[in-house]
Amino acid sequence: MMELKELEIGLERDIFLRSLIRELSGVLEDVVGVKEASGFVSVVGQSIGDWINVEYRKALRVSNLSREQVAQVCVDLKRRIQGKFSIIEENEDVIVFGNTACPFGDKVIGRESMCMMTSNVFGHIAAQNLGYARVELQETIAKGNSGCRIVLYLQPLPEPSGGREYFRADLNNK
Amino acid sequence: MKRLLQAINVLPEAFIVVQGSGCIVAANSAARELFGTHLKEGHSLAEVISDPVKKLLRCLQLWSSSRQFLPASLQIPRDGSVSTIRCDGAVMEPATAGCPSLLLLRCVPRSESASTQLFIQLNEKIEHLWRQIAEQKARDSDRLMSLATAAAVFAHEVSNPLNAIAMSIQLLEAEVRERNDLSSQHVRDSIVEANKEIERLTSLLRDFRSFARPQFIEFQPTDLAATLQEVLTPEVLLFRAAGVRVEFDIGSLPLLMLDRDKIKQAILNLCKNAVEAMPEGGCLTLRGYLCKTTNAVVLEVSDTGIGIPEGIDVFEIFRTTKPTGTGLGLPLVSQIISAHHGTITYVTEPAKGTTFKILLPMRSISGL
Repeated sequence: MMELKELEIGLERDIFLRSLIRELSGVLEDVVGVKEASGFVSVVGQSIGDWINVEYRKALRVSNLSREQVAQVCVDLKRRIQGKFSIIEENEDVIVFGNTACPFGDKVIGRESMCMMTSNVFGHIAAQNLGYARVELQETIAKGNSGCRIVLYLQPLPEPSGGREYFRADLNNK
Repeated sequence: MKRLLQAINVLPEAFIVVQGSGCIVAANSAARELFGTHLKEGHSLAEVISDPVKKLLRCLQLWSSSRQFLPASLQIPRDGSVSTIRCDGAVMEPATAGCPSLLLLRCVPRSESASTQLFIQLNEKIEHLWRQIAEQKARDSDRLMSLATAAAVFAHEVSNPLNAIAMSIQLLEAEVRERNDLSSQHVRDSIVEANKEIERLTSLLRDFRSFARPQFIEFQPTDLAATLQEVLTPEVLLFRAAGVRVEFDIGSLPLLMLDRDKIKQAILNLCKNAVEAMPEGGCLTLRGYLCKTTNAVVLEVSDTGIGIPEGIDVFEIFRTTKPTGTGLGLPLVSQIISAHHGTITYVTEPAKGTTFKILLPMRSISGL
């Protein structure tokens, strides 16, 4: 009999964790629906966004990230977790990102709630540093698109249409 | 804002409007009922909950950061103990210069939250289904038991007179043969017909006996591929004569603990059924493989015949689509497979054919 450790089984920590997240969001989507599941994933995304924001600020030795830094941090954090994000457009009103590889790999397909991680992490980092963000996930691999197109609006509109709005929490807590 | 407060007042769910700092701005009557009389405008939410202030601040920060409702939980003192409530909060109005932000909180006792209710409903449904399946199984088992007893009595009562009839026919046949005149030809034809009917009745009795008898299984290490060959070799010529081509696709299989004779009987029944389902000829395929996902050996018996009409359960006793069928063959197959701790299912399509799929779990092999 072959040694167990020699068997070709696609199980290693990274795949295991990705599968775990996929299954957890799957159960949530099935039981409480995509909308409610997105809410739960968003809470996790907010905490992760908060943590990443603090880490980058510490590493860059700044108290606040500039718009350019926010854009680059978003691309860099995704690069570190095997995403392939790039900046398509950047100006004072908007940052547009493109992506060709999801950090969750193929585990994201059909699990739209998992995209709330990106929405919340990007939105949270942008809002914490620039005061406001609205994130629109225009195209996503999860929905079956070949890549993602994420638009980060930086100026509030009187009546914003679509996307999710994020605010600087400490400003709101005053 | 005023209109919103009017609106939440008539809602049955508990809603609270708080500032980003936690200062209560407004609450509807459902919220007052949930939190108690301490929930007062101008006071802090921290006064009505049991959670540490640090946790409340974290929640306020979470809710302050987005317009989407984000879930969190808070604990409130109630009747000397503590109850957990689910609070979904979102920014209603972001902060502006000199104006604090306003948050809208939607609160429900956790035990009555929608997701918990869904889980409870789901569990109830699963339990109900299990109960239904168990009851159906018990009913089937009782019914089969009565049928088996009736079948045994019937077989016993019929077999003796049938033997006597067969012997009388044999004597008659010998006498006619001795006479050997042309006038006795119609008698001889009648004897041939009578013999055919006796054969049919004997076969029916054999099926009845097999069905009525409890399945005593004698497990022994068995090469399934070789067993299939043993079943098919004597039949292939007959099948070919009926215009049926036989295809054999059996992968490498481990030795299985099976009752060889019983399995042969089951497979032969399935193959004969398949051939009968192809009156115009066709293809009979036997496919065997190891399924690692279910840890079972799978055997598929497929035909390209007329298919099984919708709404017929072929495993139900005395259910047959064939004019000369007894309705015992497939129930017997099912009985044999069950005795091996296996399962048998089928898929069928009119005018395309039927595939019977037998699963013989490996665990029954090691456990025996």
